[in-house]
Amino acid sequence: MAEQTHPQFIDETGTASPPAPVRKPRSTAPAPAFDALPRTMSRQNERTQSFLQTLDKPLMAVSGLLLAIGLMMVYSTTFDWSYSEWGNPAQKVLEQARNVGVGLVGLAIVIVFDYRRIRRLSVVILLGTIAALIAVLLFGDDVFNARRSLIGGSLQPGELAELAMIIYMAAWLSSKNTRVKSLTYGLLPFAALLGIISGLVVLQPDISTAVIIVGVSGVMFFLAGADLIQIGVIAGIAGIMGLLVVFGGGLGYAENRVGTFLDSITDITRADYQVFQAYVAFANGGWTGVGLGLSQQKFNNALPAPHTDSIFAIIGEEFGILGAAFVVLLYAIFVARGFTIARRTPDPFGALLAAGVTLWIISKALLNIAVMLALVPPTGIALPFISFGGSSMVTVLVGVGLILSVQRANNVREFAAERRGQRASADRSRGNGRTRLSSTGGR
Amino acid sequence: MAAQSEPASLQQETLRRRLPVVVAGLIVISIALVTRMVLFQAPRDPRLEAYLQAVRDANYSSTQRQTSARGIIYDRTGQRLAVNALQYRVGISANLVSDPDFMVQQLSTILNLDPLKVNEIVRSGVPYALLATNVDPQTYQQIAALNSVAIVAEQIPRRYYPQGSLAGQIIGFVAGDGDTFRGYNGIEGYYERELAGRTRQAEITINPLELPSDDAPEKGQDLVLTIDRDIQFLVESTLASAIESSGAVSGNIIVMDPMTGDILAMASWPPLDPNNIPLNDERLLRNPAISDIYEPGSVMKVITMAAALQAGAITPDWVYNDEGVYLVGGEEIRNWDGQAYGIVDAETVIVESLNIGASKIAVEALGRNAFYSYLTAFGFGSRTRVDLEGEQLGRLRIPGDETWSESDLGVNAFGQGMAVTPLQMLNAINAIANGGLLMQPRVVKQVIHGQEVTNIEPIFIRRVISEEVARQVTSMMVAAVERGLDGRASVEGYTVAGKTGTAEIPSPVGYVTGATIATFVGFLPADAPQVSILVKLDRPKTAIFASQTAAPVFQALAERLVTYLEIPTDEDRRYLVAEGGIVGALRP
Repeated sequence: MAEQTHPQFIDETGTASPPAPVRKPRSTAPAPAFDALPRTMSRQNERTQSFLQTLDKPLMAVSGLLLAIGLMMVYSTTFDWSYSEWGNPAQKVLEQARNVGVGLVGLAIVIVFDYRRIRRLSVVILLGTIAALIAVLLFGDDVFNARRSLIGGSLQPGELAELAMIIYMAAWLSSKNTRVKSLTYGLLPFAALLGIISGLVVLQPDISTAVIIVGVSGVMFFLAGADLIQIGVIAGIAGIMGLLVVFGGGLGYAENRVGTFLDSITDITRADYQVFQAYVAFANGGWTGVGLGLSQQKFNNALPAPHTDSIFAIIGEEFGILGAAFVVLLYAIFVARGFTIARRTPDPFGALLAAGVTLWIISKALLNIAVMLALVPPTGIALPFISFGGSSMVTVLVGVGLILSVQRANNVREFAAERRGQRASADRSRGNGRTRLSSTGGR
Repeated sequence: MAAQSEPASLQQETLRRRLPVVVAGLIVISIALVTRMVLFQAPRDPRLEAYLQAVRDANYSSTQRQTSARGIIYDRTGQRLAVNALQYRVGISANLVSDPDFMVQQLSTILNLDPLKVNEIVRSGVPYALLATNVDPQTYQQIAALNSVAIVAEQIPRRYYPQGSLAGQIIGFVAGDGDTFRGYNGIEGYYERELAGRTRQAEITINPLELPSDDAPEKGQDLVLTIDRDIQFLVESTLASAIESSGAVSGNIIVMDPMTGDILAMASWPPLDPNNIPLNDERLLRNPAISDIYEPGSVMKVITMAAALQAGAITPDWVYNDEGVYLVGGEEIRNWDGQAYGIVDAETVIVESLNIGASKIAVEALGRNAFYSYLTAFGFGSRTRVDLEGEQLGRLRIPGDETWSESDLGVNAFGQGMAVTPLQMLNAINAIANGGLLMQPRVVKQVIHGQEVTNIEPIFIRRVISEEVARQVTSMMVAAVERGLDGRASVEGYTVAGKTGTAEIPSPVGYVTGATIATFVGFLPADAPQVSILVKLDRPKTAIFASQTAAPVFQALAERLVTYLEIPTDEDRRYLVAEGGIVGALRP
């Protein structure tokens, strides 16, 4: 058996790691763990799998479409501001293109690096994130009464913390396997870890990021096999804690926001200024919108942050409810694909990672949209793929890179299995003993 | 084996089992969001709709007062009499500032403000905060060079009169701020609408996709006056020295072109500097040449004579016996020296300025109806409609008025018991000078509206007397200057027609003793007048009679004017006519 032949590739969960990550994408497909074909063998084979073929096309297509909509909307919302401030209407959209470029490089690096290696780095990543979160509390820049960024606003560890937490959660949860159910191995360490990270984030204060971290981690915990009773208890405690933090924790700004929010669900005129302006945008847009570029709310700061947090309202204004619903549909397709990949992944780490990242992106999207629709108290959350932003764009694309990396491993494995099946018959006719030997050895 | 059939660990099994739960949750949330979006389009409560519209209006437009540059006033030679001095009010929309540090540094340096204060304003985030008023154009240029959307600069109009007090009373002045900024008195007041242009209180779209509506504020129209700056200066200095030499308390001089009704100069003492308006004394702001009324005195005899001749009531060879006293309506009328002149003709009535003769003509020859209808035809009792704000209409009682009495007819004939403005008087004399036409006096001859220049034609009101009668009266006025004034109003080389008037000053309890208003009205050359001049001195101290005070002022002024206006002497004109030159200039 493979496990016995190559014990060095077997990790503690009992699933396989690859012998080597893909270094040269143009070379033939690397052998999956259980196969461990010699490289020379692969090169000789006439049927190979290119790097691009190993990537998941539906996921790339939907992400690309969202990115394109994002660039279009960023231009639509910033051309006037860019022109009056920098004399170039494309100033901001070019910055955004640069952000996308950096994000795509990150995405490519993650794919090439392979997610299974990242798993080994997950502890380092988490510790680094904790350090960055502490650093931001100590030396961060104050913007709008909050410390969220380092180095002049260019680095926001909050965004990083979300992704780091998901990676670590996937690694940790998969390593626990069925012990996740246990109180001492599962719930208590989970709660402690989550408490530390989200606590640091809340101190900034950045409640929306904390909510994302707690929510996504909680659902990952659930997916990894957490005990349902424990989940119920922890959800209850988290709910109470959340209410305490919001209403009793001395965070006046959050309390105010929540207060106006509760009134505004039924009476939109009592909503927060920004939220009401978003409502005006949707009202202007109607069903089909005023047309690309023709939004009025985006000008002169009528709707604050039209290119970042409020961009969904501008989509609603320019393309109407139908256009906005189409964007929601694209996110739904993204989620469907992300979860499909998670289901197809035999490796629990990969599955949890793909599910976690998908969940993370959709949570951000839904939270952003819910704020714009006055269903959730105002928070500063960017719309993934679409909002203008550096950290947000790069982390989201790195996240997509992780999902692609997971699916790439699946594709490579399936391709290898398929090829092996074909070759088994072909080789027999050709009498390629080595292949057969290896093949049988693999079985 | 593992590679082929994806070995499902227990954890993976759990994940697959539990994912649908998560998906279900996400679907519920998504449906909720889309439903909420759809509900946003549901029919809205009218109150909400109104509120929505108000928010939109506030977002997409702003109410701005767009002031237009006020029109410039030129004299007839193109000299500027009134211009705009630009000033700016600079504010900032702190919520639009993108680089506060830079902005604070620049603004405090350029505007010379306290950086701490500027910092506070710039970082306040308010939509508008005032930074500085009365910013001059050079400073404003520096501010504008910052090219920031956050800076709000508003032009504040300021009026400046480069000639100082010259023609100050004609021009009027501008006062007020914002909505109350407007012209008062004189041209500034009369032509407020034209000069102000179109100042808009408008909803301006601030949507960069929409072009601002093209009805931008319209620049005020420029005015070209009939006033000649040099003549005005000459008149003002002549008046000033006349006031000084005669000891008069005030006075006016008006110079007109009798043919067109153009006012070439119009000065009153004391002068008014429109750059420094004495807003606390309303009397000083007026233009006495059109707003102060006085008893015209003997100058009116010319009008009485013209009316009688035109009506055919008398002929130039009419004579009467002057007995020294004449009773009209129970009132005794005497001559200025109380003397009886015996048998005198019509011309002598003018030359010697005989009150009794004028009264007899009005009462016995002309009759009251004809007399007052001619007075009215000459423009007395109504405004001249000169294009200056603040004109008075004078005071003339006519038969039918309750206060009118028979004796009024007797005294009105020589200019008592009635009141006129200096301009009214000169305009009536112009009708004699120009051959019988009453013109509407004017000070604006051109309106410049962008590229479009509109010439204003002289306005002819009515023919009052025939050319024949005009010539007869003119020759009597020439005689008055030549025979009655010992050359005190004569100008060498020119025939001058004129008439003095020494009027007593009425008070509620009769006439003020020892105080007079001395006037001289004349024009030259008598046969083809180019200028007519009214000189009026109030309460001169050096002499009572106008022949000694006002007439010499006329003379001094006329001597300078014929040079300045290059009026050919009578001899030159006869020579030119003989040579076949400017025939039209001499009346046959």
